[in-house]
Amino acid sequence: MSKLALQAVSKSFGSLEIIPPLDLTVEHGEFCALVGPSGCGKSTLLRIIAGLEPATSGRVLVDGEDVTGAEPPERGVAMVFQSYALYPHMNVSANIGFGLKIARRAADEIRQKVDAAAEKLRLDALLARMPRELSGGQRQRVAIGRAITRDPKIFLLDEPLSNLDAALRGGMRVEIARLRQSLDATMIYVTHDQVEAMTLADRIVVMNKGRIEQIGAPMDLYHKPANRFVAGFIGSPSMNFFDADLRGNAGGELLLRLADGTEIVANRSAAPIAADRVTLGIRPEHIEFGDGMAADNRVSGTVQVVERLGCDTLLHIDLSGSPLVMRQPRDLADIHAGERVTCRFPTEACHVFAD
Amino acid sequence: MRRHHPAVNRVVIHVVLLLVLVLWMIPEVYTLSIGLRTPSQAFDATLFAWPLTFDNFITVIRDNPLITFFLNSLIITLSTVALVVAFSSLFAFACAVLNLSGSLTLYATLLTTLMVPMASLVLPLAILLKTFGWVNTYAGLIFPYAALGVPFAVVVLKAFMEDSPKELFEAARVDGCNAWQTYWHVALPLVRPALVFVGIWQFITTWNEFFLALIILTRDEVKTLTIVPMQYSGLYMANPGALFAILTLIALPLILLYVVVQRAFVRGLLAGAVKG
Repeated sequence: MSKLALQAVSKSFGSLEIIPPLDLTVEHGEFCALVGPSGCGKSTLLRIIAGLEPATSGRVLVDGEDVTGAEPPERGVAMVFQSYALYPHMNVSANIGFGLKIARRAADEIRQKVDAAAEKLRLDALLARMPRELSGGQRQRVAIGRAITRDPKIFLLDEPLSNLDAALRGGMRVEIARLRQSLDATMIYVTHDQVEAMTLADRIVVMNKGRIEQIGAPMDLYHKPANRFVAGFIGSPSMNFFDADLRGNAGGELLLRLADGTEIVANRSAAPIAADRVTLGIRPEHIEFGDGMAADNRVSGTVQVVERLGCDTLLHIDLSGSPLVMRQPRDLADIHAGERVTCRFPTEACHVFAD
Repeated sequence: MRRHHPAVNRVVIHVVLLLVLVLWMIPEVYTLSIGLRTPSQAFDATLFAWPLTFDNFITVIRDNPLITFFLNSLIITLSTVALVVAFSSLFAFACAVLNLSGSLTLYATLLTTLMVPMASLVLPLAILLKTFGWVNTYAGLIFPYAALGVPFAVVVLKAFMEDSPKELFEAARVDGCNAWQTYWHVALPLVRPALVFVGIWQFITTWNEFFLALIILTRDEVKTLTIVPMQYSGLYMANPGALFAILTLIALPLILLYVVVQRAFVRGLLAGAVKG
C-alpha cells in the first residue's frame, strides 16, 4: 500500500495543452477511479503516473519520493492495459511470471508466485495455454495476474473491462472488487463507465477536458454534484436539465421559472447562485409520479416512449419541447405513448447550476 | 442461378496451377537436362535427350574442390544472414519502438542506398576492399553483402514492428524491461515470421551473388560456388554440359532450403500483407 501525489502535473503536446496543471492525492489503500468522457485526459494522466508518458511539468510522488523522471519499475507500479497486452508468444504462466523473470528472481520464487496468483484468479488449469486460446475474461485475469505477482505499490488499471461484453463485464467487476479486498492495495482505475466507477471506487475523480471537475465519494458525487458536467456524467440514465430563470432566492430556496412558465422551487445548489439564467437539474429516479403527489412543483407533458425494463419503467416525456426522462420502480402498465401525464419535481431533489 | 461444383472447381484450379508450374519449371528442367547430355547432344532443341549421362556431373565434381567452395559459400552466406538479421532488427527496433531522435533521417538515408545499382558500387567497393586488405577474404564479401542487405531488411522489419501493438512494448517497460530486454524478449518473438522471411531472402540473394564474388575472390581456397560455372563458359571454350551440371549442383542447396522453410517463408510474406 502506498500513497500517490501529483503536484501541478500538466501535459502538452506541442502547443496543445491536454492536461492543465492539476493536483491529486490518492491515499494508502484507496481505490480511486478516474472517470470522464473519451479524450478527457484520464488515460494520459494514468500513463504519466505509470511513467510511460513524461509530464510536461509538475511532480509525481510515491510515498513522498519524487519519481517524476523514474522508469515504471522504479515507481513500484503495475499496470493492466485496456487491450490486456499479453505477450502472444508466451503461455499464461510465462506471461504472469515475466516481470519476476526480468527482475532475475529465483525460479522457485517465480513458480510460487505464479501459482499463488493463478489460484487467486482461478487460472490454475490454464497456466500452459497460450493467450490466443483464452476467452476475453480469462485474458483479463491473466493481465491482472501479471500485475499482482510483482507486489507493486500501486495498481493502475486502464479501462480493463471495456473490451468485454456486458455480461462478462458485470462478473469481472465483482471479481475486481473481490480482488481489491484480498490485496488491500492502492488502485487507480480509469474508466469512462460511471457504473464501474460508482460500484468499485472509494473516491471518484471526474475529469473533463484535462481538468478535474470534482473529487469525492461516489454517493457525494451523486447527491452533491459540483456542476452540471458532473451531474450529467454521474447517474444512469443521466440527470434531466432545463433552462430556467431565477425569479427569487429566499432562505436557501430558489424560485425558478421554466420556459413554459411552470414555476419550480429548488433547494439544492453547489455554489451560491448569482446569475439570472440557471439550469435546473433533476434525476430521473427522483421524479414523483402517481397518486399522493403534493400540489407544488408539478409539470405536465406528453409521453413519447415507454421503456419497461422489468424492475423499472422509463418514461420519455416531452415537456413543452424539452425532453424529460422519468424512472419509476413499477410497471406503469396503464401508461402508453401519446398520453398526457403530470409528475412532480420534489424541492429537495431539484439541483440548480449557474453554469 | 449459378450452380457450384466444388469438385469440378478444384480440378480446374489444379489443372491451371499445374500448367503454370510446368511452364515455370521449364528452365530448371532444361538446366538439369543439359547437364545430363553428352557434348554432341548439348544443343539439341529438345527438352530431353537420350541416353542420359552423368559424365558432366562427374567432371565438375572431379575437377573442382566443390566441398571447399560449398563451405565458403555457406560461411559467407550464414555470416551475412546473421549480420543482416541482427543489424536490421536492431535498427528497425530503434526506429519503430524506441523512436530515437534522428532515426527517421537515418532510415531515409538508408533507403536511398536501395536505389544504387550494384554495378556502380563494384569499382569503389573493390578499391575500398583492396585498401582494407580484404581481397580474397571472407570479410571482403560478408561486410559488403551485409551492408547491401540491411536496407531492405530494415524496411520489412520496421513495418512489422510498427504493426505490432504498442501496448506490448509498454507492458514490457512496466514489467521492468530495459530497451535491450524489450528487443530480445518481446520485439524479436513478435516479428518472428518477418525475421524468417528476411533470413531466407538474404540467404538466397547472398548464395546466388556472383558479380562481387567474381571480382573479390581470385584464390581457389576462398571462392564461392557461383564463380565455378565461369570456368565452363568462355569466349573460345564452352562446355555446356558441365556448365549446366554445376548450375544444377549450385541450385540444389537452395531448393532443399526452400522445401524445408517454405511454410515459414510464405507465412512471413502473408503476415505482412494482411496486417494492420
